Amino acid sequence: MNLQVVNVVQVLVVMAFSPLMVGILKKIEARIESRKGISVFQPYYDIAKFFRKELIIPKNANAFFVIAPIVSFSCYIILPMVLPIVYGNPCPYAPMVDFLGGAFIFALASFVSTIATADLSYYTSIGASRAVTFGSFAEPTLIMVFFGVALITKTNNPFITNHVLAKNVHWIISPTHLLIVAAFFMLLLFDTGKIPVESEGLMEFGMIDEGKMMEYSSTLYALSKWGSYMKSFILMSVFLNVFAFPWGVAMDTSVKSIIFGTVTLLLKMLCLILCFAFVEETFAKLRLFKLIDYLTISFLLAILSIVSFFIFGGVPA
Amino acid sequence: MIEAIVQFIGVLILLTAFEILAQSYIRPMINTVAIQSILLAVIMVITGILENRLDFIILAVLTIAVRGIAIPEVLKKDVKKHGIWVYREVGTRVPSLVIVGLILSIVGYVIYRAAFSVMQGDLPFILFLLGFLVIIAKKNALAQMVGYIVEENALLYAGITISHMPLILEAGIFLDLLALVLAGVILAAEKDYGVLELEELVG
Repeated sequence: MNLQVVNVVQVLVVMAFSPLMVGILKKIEARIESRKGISVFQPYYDIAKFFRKELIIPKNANAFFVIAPIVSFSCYIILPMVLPIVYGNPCPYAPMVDFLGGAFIFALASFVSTIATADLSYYTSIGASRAVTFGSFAEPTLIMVFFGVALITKTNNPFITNHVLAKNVHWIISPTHLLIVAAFFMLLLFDTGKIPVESEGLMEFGMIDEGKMMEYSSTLYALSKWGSYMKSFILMSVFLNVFAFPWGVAMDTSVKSIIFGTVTLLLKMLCLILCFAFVEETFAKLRLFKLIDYLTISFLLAILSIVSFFIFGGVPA
Repeated sequence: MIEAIVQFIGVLILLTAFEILAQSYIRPMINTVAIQSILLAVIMVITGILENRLDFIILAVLTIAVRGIAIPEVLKKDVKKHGIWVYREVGTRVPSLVIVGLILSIVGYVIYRAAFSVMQGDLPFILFLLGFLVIIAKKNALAQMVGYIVEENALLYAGITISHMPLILEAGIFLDLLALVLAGVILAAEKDYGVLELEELVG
């Protein structure tokens, strides 16, 4: 298979399966709570319904209002081309960015959606200002996680990190790596709005991302919603393929191994979703101003991983 | 492999120290220090088996009995007696305390490496500094006692990693701690207005 085709396959996997993962998580949680729950395909139906609705643009909307969802959706389409989603070797555009480049593309998506909504209405500006406030506490952890990975693997490239970790099993059980995984997991819960944070949902006291979408309707709302599903999917696959479980990624471009890579990715993601369901069903939501404590602890784990790297003189042999 | 496990337990001990630092409720704090002592005992057992030394095993059993079970139980009894301590330390500053702890651990690492470049005692040294920080930052006497136990744990940890102390010295540390807790409990029994306050421990 041509590398460009692999690129398209990665994008399509992200676009096609990201709503399914949300549906599965909701279904599992409903079953744990003894409810019947919505169908696992409900997020698809929702997105299709939003596309059919009438588009209304507020009178005081600024120039970014319309282009923000489109730009952030395009960011989430670009990211699968430069990250190991189902295929573990660099695709044609991958050499352009490393971890920090990927973080910049994520930042661009949240930047446009923030300036589009910051002065629009009461709820959207709440969402935007909260996203910026807590984002500034989440970024240091992300940077430290990248530093930690760079220390272990001597590189800042997700593909090489994946290869190095998959080959050196003893590095995976080193305290440095385990702490990095823990810190990134906490960050993942924050970024995907799971329960200790619960930034999604319509509760005024906790909403962050959902608040930004309050004024959107129709196509633009559908794109924002779909974009947020894709963001979680990309972050989860980076967590799995680069940090936590680097095996089972397709290493050549034959049709068989690409299908194998897709299936293993979905299986790994199911395990991660079970972890999410466990966390969501056992923890309580934190109050909004306690989120900084939560993010501080993830920062602590990330820094301790680097400190432990130096204390033990590198990863164990 | 075993080295990696010992290292990981060492980092876990450091994490429990941070948990004590960030925790505002007294009872979980005492439970955490009990867990810390048990983790330390696990390290002792592993080192004892590796180096074939019986006194480390004895020490581990003593650690679990005294610090893992007895002292936490006594302290928890005190928490129960004075209802005010069940609740919490007033005014916790989790982010700033954790950041100060992190800075302290990095400074501790740098100082230790500058002084002793060969010996692997960074973790106990950092733990020692964190114990100090717990004592400084907490206003409640029980929490300060927990900080003292953290420091004693750090000494014991240093004893098994840097140089091998004789058993009698290590036993002495236990007696120290027991005496402190006994004094605290007797003070608490003597007075009835929530004796274990800061003023009682200030000279």
